[in-house]
Amino acid sequence: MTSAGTISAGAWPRPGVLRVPELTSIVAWMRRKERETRLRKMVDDYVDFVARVLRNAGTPAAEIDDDLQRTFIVASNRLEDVRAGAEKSFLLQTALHIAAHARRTVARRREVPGDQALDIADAFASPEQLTDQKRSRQLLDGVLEQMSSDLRIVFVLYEFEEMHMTEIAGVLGIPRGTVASRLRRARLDFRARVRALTRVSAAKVGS
Amino acid sequence: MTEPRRLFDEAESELERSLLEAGTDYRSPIGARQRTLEALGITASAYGSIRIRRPSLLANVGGVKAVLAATALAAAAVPAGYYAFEKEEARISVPSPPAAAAASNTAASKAPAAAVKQRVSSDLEGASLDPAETQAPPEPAAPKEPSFEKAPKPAPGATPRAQDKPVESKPARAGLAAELGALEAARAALGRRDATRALALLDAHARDFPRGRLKQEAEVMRIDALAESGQRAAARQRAQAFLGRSPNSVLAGRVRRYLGD
Repeated sequence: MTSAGTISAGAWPRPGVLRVPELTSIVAWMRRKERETRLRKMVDDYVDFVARVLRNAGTPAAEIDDDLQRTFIVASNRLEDVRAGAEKSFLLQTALHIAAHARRTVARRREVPGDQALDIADAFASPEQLTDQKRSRQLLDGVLEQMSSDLRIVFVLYEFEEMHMTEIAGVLGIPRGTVASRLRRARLDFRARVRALTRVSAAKVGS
Repeated sequence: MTEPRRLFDEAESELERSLLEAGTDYRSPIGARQRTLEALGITASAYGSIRIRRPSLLANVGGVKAVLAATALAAAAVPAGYYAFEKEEARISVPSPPAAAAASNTAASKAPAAAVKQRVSSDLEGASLDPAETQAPPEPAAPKEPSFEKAPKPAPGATPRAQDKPVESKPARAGLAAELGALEAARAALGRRDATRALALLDAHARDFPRGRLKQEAEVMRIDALAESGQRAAARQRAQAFLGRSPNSVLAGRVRRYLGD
């Protein structure tokens, strides 16, 4: 090996003397490390956020893990296109897209479209159980499932993610006025369904 | 512009409040963060954890060696990470134990951890280590893949074995940058969801770098691009072939997940 084309390694990861071409792989290594650091931070910062969005937007509990991974794999594949600072909204849009797919799959699987409110109410034993966390989640799933997906997404982003209407409009690519009207309808819808649940539950307990 | 208060703040019943709370309180399942990092090929803790996938082989490995492996990998820190990258990215074969010993003689003073790691890797031969977690997959080079052998640093006075000779000429090594550039262009096209362009660039890559060192990466990208372009059957077929050829590749998990979709 000639000394031509060699440089001192200094603080490079590999000790010793490096040939110039080796720098190429070190640069690639560093680039990968940078990528990894960014991805790791995205996962650390937003794993709960993405899981919650997926869950509330219609991914069944059993598929959260898979869809979480899908979301971040998409982010990883498109990392170069994700602007610094825009990670959250990219993940949100991806998660909504994936959850929409999950919703369609669930809808296809459902064989008998029954009266969901009554089905859910059947699971009640007593009003005390309504405060049980797991039960609440099941009931929420039932209520959200019955909402139209347009209303549901706006509702979820506003009520659970506490996003502003303008932000929601940006993420969904619709006018703010549409967000406002969808939210208004979604809230009425949600309330009506929860009231119906309460009535069914009370009737069941009373009977 | 004013916005309405959140429904939770004006819940009209306990039920409504508990449902809204359920929506807000949802957290990712236990371990989901780690599993996601693994899916991305990132170790969850910087250079630490090591998991043996086939417990039946654990008996052959022995607890002490496993602990040693974990310690060595943790100690290997940055150099180990770089070596791992080199192996993974360039399909460098892990030197056989004598070669590793020779390398460690040279590098002992500067990179003892890496040497220990390699020794431990050979101790652990037969156990399936999760490459995504160890960052230093101790898998032997896939025999069928056109592999590029890492130019070893022979110990002064040591006679390098024939197979340890650097098989790669300087121009070929410099070609890595060009190859990387070609693939980055394909990746960028894929990033723009321009699958046609990505496939054209990948075809060009295959032509220009018939013995390319990033062939596995190119192949995984091609699977992505085919899927993106709607050629799902072709993507599946290639994914299956990939797994048949390189079941232990660090990219295998990603391909398996694609097939699992």
